[in-house]
Amino acid sequence: MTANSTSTSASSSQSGKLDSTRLDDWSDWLNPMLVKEMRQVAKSHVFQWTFLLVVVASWFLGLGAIVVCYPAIRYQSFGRSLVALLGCLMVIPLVFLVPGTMFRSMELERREATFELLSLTTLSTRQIVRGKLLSILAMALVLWSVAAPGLVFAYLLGGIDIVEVVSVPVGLFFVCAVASSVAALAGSLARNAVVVTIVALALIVGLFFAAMFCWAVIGETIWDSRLPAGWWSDIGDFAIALAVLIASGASLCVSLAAARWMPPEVDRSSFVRTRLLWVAGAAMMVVATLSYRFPNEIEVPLDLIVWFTCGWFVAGTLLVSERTELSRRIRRRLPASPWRRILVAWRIPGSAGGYVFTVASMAALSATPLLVTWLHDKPGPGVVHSPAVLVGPLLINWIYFSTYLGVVRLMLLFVRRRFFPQAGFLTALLIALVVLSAGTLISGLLLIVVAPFQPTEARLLSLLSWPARWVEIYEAVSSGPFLLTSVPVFHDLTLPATIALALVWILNLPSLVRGLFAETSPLPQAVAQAEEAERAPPPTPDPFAD
Amino acid sequence: MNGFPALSVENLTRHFGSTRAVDGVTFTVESGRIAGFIGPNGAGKTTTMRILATLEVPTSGEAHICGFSAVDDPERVRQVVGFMPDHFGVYPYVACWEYLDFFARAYGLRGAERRDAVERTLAYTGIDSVADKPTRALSKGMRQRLSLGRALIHDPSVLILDEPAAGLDPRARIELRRLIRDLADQGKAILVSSHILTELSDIVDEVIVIEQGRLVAAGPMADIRQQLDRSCTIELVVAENPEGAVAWLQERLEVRHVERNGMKIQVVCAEAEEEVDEADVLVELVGAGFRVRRFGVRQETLEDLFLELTEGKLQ
Ligand SMILES: Nc1ncnc2c1ncn2[C@@H]1O[C@H](COP(=O)(O)OP(=O)(O)OP(=O)(O)O)[C@@H](O)[C@H]1O
Ligand SMILES: [Mg+2]
Repeated sequence: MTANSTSTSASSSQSGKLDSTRLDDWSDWLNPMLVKEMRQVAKSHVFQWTFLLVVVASWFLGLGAIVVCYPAIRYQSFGRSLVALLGCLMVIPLVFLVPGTMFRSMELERREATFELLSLTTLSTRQIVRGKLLSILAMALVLWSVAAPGLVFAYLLGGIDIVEVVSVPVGLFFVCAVASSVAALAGSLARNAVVVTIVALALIVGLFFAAMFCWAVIGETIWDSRLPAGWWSDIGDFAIALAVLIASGASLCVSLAAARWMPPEVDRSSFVRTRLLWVAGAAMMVVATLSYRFPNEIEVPLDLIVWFTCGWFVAGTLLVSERTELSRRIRRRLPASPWRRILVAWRIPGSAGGYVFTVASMAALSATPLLVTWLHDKPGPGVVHSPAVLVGPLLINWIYFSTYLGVVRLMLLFVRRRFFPQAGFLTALLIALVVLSAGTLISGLLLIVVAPFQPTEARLLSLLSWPARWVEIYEAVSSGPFLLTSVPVFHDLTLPATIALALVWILNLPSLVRGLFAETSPLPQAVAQAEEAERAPPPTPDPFAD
Repeated sequence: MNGFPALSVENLTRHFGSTRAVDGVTFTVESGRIAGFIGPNGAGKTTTMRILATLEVPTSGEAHICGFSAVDDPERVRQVVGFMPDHFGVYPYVACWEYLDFFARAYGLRGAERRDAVERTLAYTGIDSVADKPTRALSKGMRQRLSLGRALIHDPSVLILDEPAAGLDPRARIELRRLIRDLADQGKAILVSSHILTELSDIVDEVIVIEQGRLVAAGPMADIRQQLDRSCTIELVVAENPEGAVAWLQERLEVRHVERNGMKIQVVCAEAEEEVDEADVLVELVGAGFRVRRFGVRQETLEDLFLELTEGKLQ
């Protein structure tokens, strides 16, 4: 393999001559981290033993199949069972070992303080994490290529079609990639031994469930062959959207792992936001495909919106917990013109940009089901709703979202100023929990006490509660067709909610403006000179010359 | 380089909570010079070096390498600075040459350029004999060499070495000194910190002394000595009557402090070294009937300078 041949080429290089420089040159095109990790993986005992075991197991399964059904080998459809067995076997290295290696590799980087050495180089943190992930996936590919003859043999035995045979390695590879991305994030969380242990245990439990899931799916679809014939044309689009959602979630995990490794002074936010947009886009695809599949069930898009709102709230808490003061490194890269600042406000790192980003994305997210239902809104029998029905609930949801997140942001800023300047994501999450429970649990409890006696106050309290409000709207919407006016957009309580939002925005405004319109740091004088010098580089003295 | 000093630090400050690790430090190092960076434990040496290596960002102040700001322009600074930290990170299953090869790639060296850099670094730092050994199996001395090699792989014009001699045997230290001197002769600016001051005194062109994050002194050793309270120390061993010898010396010279240990006497005089003619003193001493076994003026070492400049407060 690459690793071995490069190794021989370069060990001969240090004795003075180089034969296979071409392969070595070719490896220049690869991510340096990938090359290093592949060399490491190829030499690691864990990998060598797994490799050997997979070889032995696939031979053993193949030979076993021959022995078991030798006389009737041409007439039995033993292939299906063999593919299922091989798939179940491969779950162990692919779902446990490969993500486990990824976790360890990330965690070791911090423990051995090699990560610092990497940050000294011109490699970016994202390149580093990506290189690691790629090398891990290469390891998974090698393991599959070892098991491939077993699959081919199983196919030749018959009883299974080629699509099913191929779906096993492809599916498992996908699960492996997703699990490894999550493992990368888990590995980057580790700061000390206690955290490492807790995170590792959580990861093992998670991987165990993933393995169970894989075994169940292989058992149901391959072994028992229970997949209905026309499933692809029925929900194929939804399956693809779901896979894209999962994949973009995995990519978000990798980005978060890289961001976690970056110092807070650099811009570790913009690319995470881009990934968040991917996830949002994929989520919208899921909403769109489902709304399309179930045009008469208005709850479907609303259900999904509720889930995605929860996800966005967590993401929003993360983004809002970014630093309020932008570092000099970041400020130097901000656009100078205020108009461009406004235009790219959602990309500007820091708490202010984070808030704008989350609120804007949530608006886009809410608009999507409207668009889908509007496009799908063909008059005809059975179609019971129109996009207009959705406007009210989505708008109200957005108002609550922005208000609650704004409150979280205000409280976090307050905590930072008064008590704990270093407050980060965990503090923000805690504040979010407090705010949510104050707005829902406490008001809910008070509601029960107050409602019988003071109906007006009760209405005000229920106004506070986002979920209570949501349930109210949801019931109203799903019980039948509604016209725009009957949806509680202009409901008497919507006005106070909007006023609350306005108030939260006004309170947030000073720090938002400060964050978004921070002065750019002056360009260091040397940079201009350097750029000039770069055009005509001076001859550098040879450091190794005697 | 581009008309800027190779390494300069202006009013550099770094706080960790209430700890002022670095507190308004200013100094420069020119190309081809070796600056010894000394100070007691926790003085802020490592923090300053990490800021220069772009690993840390200062609370305020500026740090420039070849005119590029380590704060604002870390990418450019990384290309011209080589940093050897006080720890050595290893990867399992990675051989020495693979280690260097990886870092060469990470610094953007490609093809023949990369292979040359790896080969020459292996030879230059003298680790070609263990090139195929896994990094984990290296001895301390070999690790330090490899670590230096890593810092040199992209041919930086500024080298920052954090306690490079820690844990080395005398021969390895001499070897390291030779390497550092050689690198400076090639025109690199070198900032080197060490606790072993005898280590540095032979090779450094200037010293930078900090304590509790504050700069105590910076400049060529001779200049610093000038700024200090000038004094000179005479050491002698007599065969008999040490009390008499001390009394005689106190009469003859302006003695500030005497230390006696059996026949061994150490006198610190208020006069500067240049003002005391030790040959005259010895002749007079012998003339007065004292049997002198050994006599000499002790050269003020970096260690003395250090002890004189710093107060030994730990933070
Ligand atoms: N990451 C950090 N968090 C908090 N305090 C720190 C951190 N890094 C350094 N310090 C503190 O800053 C001060 C200076 O530390 P530094 O490591 O720079 O000293 P040093 O001069 O290198 O010491 P030594 O000679 O022991 O290596 C110390 O008090 C140290 O505790
Ligand atoms: Mg130190």
